[in-house]
Amino acid sequence: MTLAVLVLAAALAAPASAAVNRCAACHGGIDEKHAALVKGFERDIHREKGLTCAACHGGDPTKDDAAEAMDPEKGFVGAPSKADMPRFCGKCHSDPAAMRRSNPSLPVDQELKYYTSRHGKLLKAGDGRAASCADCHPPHGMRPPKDPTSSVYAKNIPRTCGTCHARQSSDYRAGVHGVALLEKGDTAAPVCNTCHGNHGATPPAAASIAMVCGSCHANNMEFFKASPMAKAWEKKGFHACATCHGNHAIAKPTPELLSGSHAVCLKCHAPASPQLAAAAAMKGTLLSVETAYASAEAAIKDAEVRGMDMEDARDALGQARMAMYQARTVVHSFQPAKVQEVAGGGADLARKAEGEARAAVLDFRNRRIGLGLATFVLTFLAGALYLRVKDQE
Amino acid sequence: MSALKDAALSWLEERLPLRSAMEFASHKRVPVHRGDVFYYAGGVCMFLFLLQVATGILLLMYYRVGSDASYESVRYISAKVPFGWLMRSVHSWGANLMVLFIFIHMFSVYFMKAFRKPRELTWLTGCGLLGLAMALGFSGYLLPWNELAFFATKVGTDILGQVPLVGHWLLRLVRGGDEVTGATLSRFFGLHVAVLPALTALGIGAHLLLVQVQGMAHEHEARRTMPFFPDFLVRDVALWLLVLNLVGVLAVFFPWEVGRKADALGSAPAGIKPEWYFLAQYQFLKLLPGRVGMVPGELLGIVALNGVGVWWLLTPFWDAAVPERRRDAVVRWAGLGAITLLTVMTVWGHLS
Repeated sequence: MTLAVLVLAAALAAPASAAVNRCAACHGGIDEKHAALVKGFERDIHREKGLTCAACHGGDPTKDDAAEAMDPEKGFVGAPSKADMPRFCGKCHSDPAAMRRSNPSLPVDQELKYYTSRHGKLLKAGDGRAASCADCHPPHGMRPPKDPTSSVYAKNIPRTCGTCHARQSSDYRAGVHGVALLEKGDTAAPVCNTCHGNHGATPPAAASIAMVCGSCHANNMEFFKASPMAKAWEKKGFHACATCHGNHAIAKPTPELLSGSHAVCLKCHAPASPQLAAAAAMKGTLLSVETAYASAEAAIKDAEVRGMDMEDARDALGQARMAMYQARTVVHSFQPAKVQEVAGGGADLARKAEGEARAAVLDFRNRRIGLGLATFVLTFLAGALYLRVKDQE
Repeated sequence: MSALKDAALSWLEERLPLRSAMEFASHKRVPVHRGDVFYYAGGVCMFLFLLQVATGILLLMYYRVGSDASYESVRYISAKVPFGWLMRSVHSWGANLMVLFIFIHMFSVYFMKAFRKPRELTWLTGCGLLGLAMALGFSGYLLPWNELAFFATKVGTDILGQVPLVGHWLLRLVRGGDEVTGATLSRFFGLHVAVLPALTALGIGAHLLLVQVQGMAHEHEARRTMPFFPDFLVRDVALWLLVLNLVGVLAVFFPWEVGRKADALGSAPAGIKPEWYFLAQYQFLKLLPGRVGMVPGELLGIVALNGVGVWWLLTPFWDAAVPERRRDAVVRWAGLGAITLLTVMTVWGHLS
């Protein structure tokens, strides 16, 4: 019986001794830098997955003696050099068996992809400035990408990449995508790695720009690829979307891009050319639907402020907005007639919505006039009855 | 013209006791005194009920019942039907004003001690009519099937579930199931447009009959009286016109909202509260702790509220049991206490 109790106690104690991690006891007291590393690791994703210091650095974490604990014969590797970092992390991240245990959803080709990236190639060529794993994923406190405190959380990526690519990061912040992500908080907005990839990060080539942008702006890409412009640009080696819209500092597209002093078409076409005339026609069409839309929206708001039900007008306005967006997309076909066809329908819907809103405001005024008349009649009758009462008295 | 009128009257007289009715009416008199202005409150209640019936019938022409139709039809009434918005707003404001005037009428009768023998039955029918008006308000509130209506009905009917023994059965009976659904809407609709108006019409008939049979209270004490026809009636109608005017102004300047469609899976809108005439009870229930000893606080509250209701209903009877020299003072202080408590709890409920 006593023996059985002892065996059971030993069995229960066994897992506890396996989790012993004496590294922190010494390293936490070396200096402030090491203390911060030890403290940072307390909330590291690797620790949450059950890994200890020894899982990356090797050695024997159960020993109090430094020489024994950091004995190279026991697998101690210490801190890896920058050049060795991808292989160091790849010990687990490139090992399907290891990743299946801790995070089966994570791909195991990250190291492989890294070496195809510009960063990886430069590092391999001996450029010590090239970013390696720890430059984007600071160790000892690493958090998963969905954690808002992570260096690779969508809203933090421009800052992380901007550590080296300051100009591009600054341009991105000023562009539509940066504004959507950082100012409007839309975490679905594209960020650096959406276009460049992450572990295989590379600047998109001229031919692949349309594919990169087209992964979100699919219709724009389709219209552009089917247009006569696509072949001409291919010949000239233009970056499809970036030639007109820029790359990192992508400005909010307006009809002004088509014609006038800010027209991007002027980069290639003469001001008096038929191409510029077509662009001016498309600009006019877009402006006309935008004006009709804005006017209808103002009229609807005016009616809604007065408490009038504008559900139907809102529906029509929603359809007009859809047509307006479609017309902007169809511009990439560079065919004014097609743009007119789509935008014209939208403008008609907007005018219909505006008509309903104006009628509602008129109805609102008529209600008050009606109330005034009714009040007059009722007060007159009540007054007449009052006089009758006085007469009786 | 006069000959034609006489002929018509004599034709009717042969078939109806018209002259005797007119003769009876011509002798009906109303006391004139300091508080006679409150006599008009009852007439206003009846006028507002008739206004509710008229606007209710017009709304019925377009209203469709069902969880997939009610909200849409109310929206349609408010937005598309000519003067639909007016009918709906007048109906909603009229309902609120009707309850308000019933309260004014009830308290004026109370403080004039007009409930005393032989008018106990008039008081009882009046209390019954207040209950019917509140039931009409509660059932009508759900019919637009918007968020507020849905959650107010959910909270209101939840209270029924707290009744011991039969609570769950009552809850299922009222809701037509365990939850507030289209089935609840159907039965509330049936109650609102058929059962409750019919009972109210009968109640008003009985109430008026009792007033006729017993005459006005204090008629013999008053120094002066005035004939009901036409003097009092003319004043009555003048006031009705002013009330109609008030309803019109409220309907045009503060139209009743259509709100957002009820969503059983959505969360209750912030700051949701019942209609003002249920606020005092609601605030009282809110103040109670979860448990008082072994008894759930809510159950205790419901018992207490019902107790107060029964005590109020039985006013003519406990009043008669109070020694005569203290009777007036007891009635006055009990009434002032009731009004103060109702006002404080309602305002508190509104502000909290």
